[in-house]
Amino acid sequence: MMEIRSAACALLLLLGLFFMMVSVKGVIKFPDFFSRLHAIGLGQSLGMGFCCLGMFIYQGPNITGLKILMVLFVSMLAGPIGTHIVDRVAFREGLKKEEKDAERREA
Amino acid sequence: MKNKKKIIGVVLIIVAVSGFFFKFPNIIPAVDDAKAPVHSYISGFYIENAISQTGAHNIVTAVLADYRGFDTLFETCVMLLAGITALMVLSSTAKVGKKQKVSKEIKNASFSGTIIDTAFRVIVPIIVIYAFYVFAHGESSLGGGFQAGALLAIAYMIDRIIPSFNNSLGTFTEQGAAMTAGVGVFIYIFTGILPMFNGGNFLEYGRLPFGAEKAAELHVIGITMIEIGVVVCVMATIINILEVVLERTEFDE
Amino acid sequence: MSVLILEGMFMLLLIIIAIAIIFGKDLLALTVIYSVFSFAAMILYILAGAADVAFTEAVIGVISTVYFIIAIKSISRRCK
Repeated sequence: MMEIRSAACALLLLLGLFFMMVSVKGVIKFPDFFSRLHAIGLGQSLGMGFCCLGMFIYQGPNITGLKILMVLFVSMLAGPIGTHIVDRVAFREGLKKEEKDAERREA
Repeated sequence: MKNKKKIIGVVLIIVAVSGFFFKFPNIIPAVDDAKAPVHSYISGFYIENAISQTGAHNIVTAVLADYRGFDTLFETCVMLLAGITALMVLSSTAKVGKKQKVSKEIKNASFSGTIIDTAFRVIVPIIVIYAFYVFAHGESSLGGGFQAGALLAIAYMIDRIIPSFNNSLGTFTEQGAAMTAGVGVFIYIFTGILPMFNGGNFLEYGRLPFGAEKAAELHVIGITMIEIGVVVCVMATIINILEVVLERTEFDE
Repeated sequence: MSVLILEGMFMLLLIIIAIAIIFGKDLLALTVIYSVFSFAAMILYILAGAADVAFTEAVIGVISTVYFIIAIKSISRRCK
């Protein structure tokens, strides 16, 4: 029973790591601010969710598992909110879409 | 030119420090070395007697708040002084008043709509409850007064920086925050003076004038009372420095 | 042995971040890097066995980043 749990936990942790790394690669590669924000907001929340789920499966339903579920809840709440705030501030400051980053850096 | 000096300085420091530690490798003992001089004199006494004498399972809290309570008192005083110093140093700079709202097409919309308002109405109570959890469990697991005070200050900071919350409970003025820090230190000193009315020394928790069966329970009551003082002082100092700097900064809005 | 390698990795990260902060030019980006510094220090405290200090460092890292950003707002963003 424990082996199945360990295997499932390892698989979910690797999946979470994969999503996080893909999102970071997207941040480096995309040319525009809003695409980069989109990549990292979605990817990090999903990766964090998978990692927390894997750890919960390893612990089983005891008190530590309940605390891990609370961490999952708060991180799923905080990730999209942070992305939304950054987006909102950038829009209000007048950052236009499709503006290449090199011109912005001169200012 | 200046870059060259920086590079030479950095390389020199790295070579000197790592060369020193490669030449004398035994000058700092390992962390888990039981025979090191750090661990052999009084740590044994703390580990054996902390739970029975203090009632605190977290030995770090027992040492900080009970065996070394006098040091923690002056640490709290230093936090109060830091807030007052920030107030004094920056008081000569002029405060920045609120400007008229420049109406542009994008800035007519308010900064936050339903999403940010609702989200922070959910998150800020969670942070406050977590702060009280950390404070109340300071004796048996990680936590204590300092962490709880910083978390409460973070909750206030969110409330203050997001510009759409109407602050119906009011904000701290900078002098009000400094006075609240003083109230925190006062609670600490009051807990120290209380045993003197009962025939004990300063900060002797064994003679607090509350009734209890075992001596360890009085120590638990004493630790909780001083942690309340530490929470109030730390929260008020962080809010103090925030208010002092925030009112003298220009935001173009 | 594996803990030693992990500690060594994070200490190397500390050194690299410190060098980057000395030679950096854009103050706002350096603030973000400073919070990574605080995170690496927190991991080192956990590996040394001091969990209370690690928790405090995590909380203080948030607060100090906010302070730095507010302070940089008053002065210019580039450093010569």
